[in-house]
Amino acid sequence: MTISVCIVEDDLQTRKILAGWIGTAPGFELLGDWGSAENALARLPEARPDVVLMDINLQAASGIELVKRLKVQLPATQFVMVTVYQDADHIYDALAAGATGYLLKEASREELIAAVEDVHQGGSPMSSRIARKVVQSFTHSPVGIPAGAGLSAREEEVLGLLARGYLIKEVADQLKISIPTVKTYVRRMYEKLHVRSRSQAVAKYARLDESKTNPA
Amino acid sequence: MLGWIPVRAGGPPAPDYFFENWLSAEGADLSAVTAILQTHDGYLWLGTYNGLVRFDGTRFVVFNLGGASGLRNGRITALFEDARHVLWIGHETGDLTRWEAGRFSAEPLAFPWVGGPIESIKTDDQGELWLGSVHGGVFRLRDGQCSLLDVAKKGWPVWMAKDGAGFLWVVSNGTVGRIKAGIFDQLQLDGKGADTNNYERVLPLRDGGIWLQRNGEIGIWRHGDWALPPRPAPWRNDHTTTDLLETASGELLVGTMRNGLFVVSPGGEVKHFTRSEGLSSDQIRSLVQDREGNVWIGTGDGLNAMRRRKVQMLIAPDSWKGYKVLGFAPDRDGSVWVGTQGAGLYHCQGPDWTTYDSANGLASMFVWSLLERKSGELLVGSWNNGIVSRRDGRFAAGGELAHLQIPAVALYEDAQGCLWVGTQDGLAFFADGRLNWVAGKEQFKIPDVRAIAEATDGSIWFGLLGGGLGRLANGKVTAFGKADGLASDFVQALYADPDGVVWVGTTDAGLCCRRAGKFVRFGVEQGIPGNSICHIVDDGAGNLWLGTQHGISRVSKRELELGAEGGKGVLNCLTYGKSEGLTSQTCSGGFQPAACRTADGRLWFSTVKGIAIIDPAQVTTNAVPPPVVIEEFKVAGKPFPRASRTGTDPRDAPAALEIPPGGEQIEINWTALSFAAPDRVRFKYQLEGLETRWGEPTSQRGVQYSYLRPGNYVFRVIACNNDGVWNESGAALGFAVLPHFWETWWFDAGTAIAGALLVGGGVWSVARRRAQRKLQLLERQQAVEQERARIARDIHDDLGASLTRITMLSHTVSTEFQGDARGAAAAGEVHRTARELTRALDEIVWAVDPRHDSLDSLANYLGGYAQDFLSAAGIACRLDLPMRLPDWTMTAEVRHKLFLAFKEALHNVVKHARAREVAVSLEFRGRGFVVKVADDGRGFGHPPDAGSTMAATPAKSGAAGHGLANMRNRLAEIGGHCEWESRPGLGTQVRLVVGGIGDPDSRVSS
Repeated sequence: MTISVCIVEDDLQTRKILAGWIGTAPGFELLGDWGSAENALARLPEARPDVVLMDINLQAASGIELVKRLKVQLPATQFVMVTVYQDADHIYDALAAGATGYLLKEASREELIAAVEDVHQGGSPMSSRIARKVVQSFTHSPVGIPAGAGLSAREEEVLGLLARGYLIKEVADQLKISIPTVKTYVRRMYEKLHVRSRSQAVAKYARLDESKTNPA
Repeated sequence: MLGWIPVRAGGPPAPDYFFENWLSAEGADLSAVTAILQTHDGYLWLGTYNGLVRFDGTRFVVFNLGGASGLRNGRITALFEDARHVLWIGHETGDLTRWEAGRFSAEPLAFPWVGGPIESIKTDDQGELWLGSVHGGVFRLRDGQCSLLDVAKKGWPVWMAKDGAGFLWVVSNGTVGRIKAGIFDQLQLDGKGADTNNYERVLPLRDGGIWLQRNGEIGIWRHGDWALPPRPAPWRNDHTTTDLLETASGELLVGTMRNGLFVVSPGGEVKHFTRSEGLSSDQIRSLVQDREGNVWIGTGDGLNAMRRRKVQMLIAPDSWKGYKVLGFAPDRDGSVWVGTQGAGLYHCQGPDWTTYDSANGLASMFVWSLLERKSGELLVGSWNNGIVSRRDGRFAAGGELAHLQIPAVALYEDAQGCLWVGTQDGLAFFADGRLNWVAGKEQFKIPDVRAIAEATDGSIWFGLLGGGLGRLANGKVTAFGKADGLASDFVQALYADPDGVVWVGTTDAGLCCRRAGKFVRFGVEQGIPGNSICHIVDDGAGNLWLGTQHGISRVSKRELELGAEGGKGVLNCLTYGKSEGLTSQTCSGGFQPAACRTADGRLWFSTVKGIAIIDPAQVTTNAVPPPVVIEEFKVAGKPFPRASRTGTDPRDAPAALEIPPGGEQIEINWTALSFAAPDRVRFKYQLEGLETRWGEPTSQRGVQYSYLRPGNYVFRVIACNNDGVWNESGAALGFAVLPHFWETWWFDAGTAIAGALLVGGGVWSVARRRAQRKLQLLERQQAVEQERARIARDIHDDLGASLTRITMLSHTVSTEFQGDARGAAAAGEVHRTARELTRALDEIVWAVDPRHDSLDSLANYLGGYAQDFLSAAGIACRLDLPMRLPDWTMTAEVRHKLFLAFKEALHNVVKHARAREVAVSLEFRGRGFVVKVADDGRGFGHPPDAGSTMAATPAKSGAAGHGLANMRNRLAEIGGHCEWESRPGLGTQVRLVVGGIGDPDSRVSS
């Protein structure tokens, strides 16, 4: 079974190279590549790819904003943010917006292919920087969070280790579980993060009052 | 007007006016101010014997000999601005200079000009220029030729004055008349025979009358008749009238040579002002009224502003022996009691003052609180000698009150006549000769009660210095503090409004109001002049008057209400300061009663120098919006040539200036020409092209911008006068910053790497400079921050894109060199270098971007770096970084230096330690924190001082020692140090210590 991929990247040369790498990799199918947010918004929903490689900084619109809008229409599609720098704030924002993976642009072809396969199979990466941000986000209990969007004990354990600098493999060793299981935990945390950030936005929009809402 | 209401020689100072003096200062020699003029653009120009001086209310700019401007003669006797905005300058030597378009040029005068000091310069109704010489004679200057007015004779004194219709009136040769079509038209007073009177002075009045001085007598001639028949002048012993002025409100001001200033009111009342009344000299040289109505007086020694007194000051003849004034009590008999901090108690009965101290019945010299009870009894509270009462002219101890051994500084009588006493030990009420304590240490950590007020519901509110606010209702005490939303726990003033609002004055956080159970704060940011509120008084007309450390301010309760309901915007405060007659702008607070409103409606405030009394019904405001002038435009510290500009031409529209590339720092200085209270003029400015909004109001008259990116800019500044009236059009200046040649091609991918290094270097210099020169102005800091954000963005977007291409292309190329090992290796090397460069830029972007100026971002970055770096080396990384870190600002400098030292520590581990695991942690120490890097490696073979903890001395062991020295230097540059601990076989621990960052109390634990 092939993995269908779309690319949104405003730098033409980078896009061509990425497209070349994906297009020639066995088991991958390139459905389209676009240089602007407008084109991506217009074409992505009908393309329905498995994975989107999304430049985090698009000219005019940010990739983060684009993910926020597209994830609602394409809940089954995985968004992998592609970024030059490891700016934890930006990557975290993208994850909260609905992305489930991220990748540095300095990655080699092999690393890129592996990352897309990983995300397609239900895994997600999480560095200590991102883990720390996720911990900080979950310790806050802002308004309007639905029940069930909190972390389970096991998830908290995994998150704690990641924030303390453990690599995914080290977490697996420590907890005596498999690497894909750890990655699945991470994926689930991202999904909860997304739910939280979306409900927060809704709560804000609906002008829910602190006093009227039970902190979940 | 029937006659003079005589001058009261030797009487008390006339209370309506006071004088603000400027003596020689700031390089301006004001020892003789011979002429004053307000030019059309609003500046005041002063003629002196030492150059021409321009004044904007705060700054004197001197134009003197030898300057670039080209003034050739510094002794000035006359000034005049004509209709074409040419400023004419008459000299003592008989020379004439013109100032036009920013340049001085000499205007030659030839025969028949007699020479001698130029007494006056004026134009007639046709715009012709006339000069009067002290040597006599009136001369017309036309096309460089002088001609003598027909009636004028040399040797006779000359006087000139203009009337409202533009006609020039002249006294010459003992006769008076006006110049009509270039010819002298003598004033015919009696219509018959020759007028043999010797005329000396003439002043056309606004109502068409002519003020005349002849034979030492004064009279007003109006519409063919004497409105005031000539009578001896009040200043008869000094006939030398030096200048005359009719003010907009119809007063006549007469300056004399040796006898000060006389002011004749429209009603004929004459007031006399001399040095005893505050003038800087009795020799008056010039009089002018500016457009705001301020009267300026040039004297033989200094410049004076004559201000209408809006605040009456009650000051003891001995100025309280230099001690501070504290509480006071206006007695119902019209006398006033005043307590001082060291000079005892004063009693003022009209002109008579009595002092009470230990010699005549008062135990303490420190009288903090005074209260006259409804019974007429006067209570005198001291710092620690109890409270005594005065009844029937004698001081007497009253029960337990007299034995209080603690400071009792707040006294209050409630509606039922119950006496409340606030002390440093709490609050008590006094009944049946006993003190009944209701609040103290049990409820308040610091029970220092300084203010008491009864609310309409009968509850008693009290403010504590350090203890917040208390309320006593139904026998129960409730405490309110910062945790409840009160702006500060240091409360010194209270006012319970009849409408239920409780107003709270704090010592450090402004005014706070409690409505409907919630506290709302109003501070300096909202327009309150100071954050220490000593007094809150209601004027009964919808305003609160606040006594602060920066004058006394009126603010409307309606505006406060709107602000409390969430309205944005700055409060319009009317502030009284020195310019309104306050001897000191510092109010006295921390005791009660400290301010009050008397039955006549006047408001009384205690200030350190005396009691200030304001009649709120007499408030007048300055409605003139101030002209705004951009005075200076500097690039890299040097004045930048602007298009030819007179400095006086309103058509000087923003003309684009082009600044060459590399003009790093741009400085703009401006002023507003409002003289009523120049220290209260406020400005707002904005640099269009950089800023999208106006800044907060500021008193600053200059700003610097650094590192403006190429583009077009317009600088705009607007100003308001002392009473908050804005000139919304203000002034503007357009300019363009031209790009560097490389800024036009640096996006080119082929040179991206060179560009990256260039920018990297520039970026660090920005960061370094920012920390090194402590930037004084917040605005500038913001500009630098914006600039840092821009650089970070540019590196991120532009260089990042190019580098990505190089990384990817070189990777693709290296995999395509099948069989060609050398080609593949070379392409692999390019790939590796590009990746390294990307990481280096990642560090630069992180350090430069002001978004990361926090401890949390620092901790997160260090942790992430350690994880990446160590995992690449196959070493496990364990992080112990608190999840919640205090909100400390970490400058780019500190973050960068600490990061470099941290990197060094990790490199040392990887190179030398043979460790399996490295633990990185962050802990707090004092006002700073420590980053620890501990490995489980082999440790140092020969540590400098085995096993001990030390602020490291240079280690002896080669490379590790070198690295340690590097780390030490990095940390020393940011005021930190490095500690080091190692044992053979037991690993090494390096501690990077950074101090003096934050407040230890603001720590938040994880």
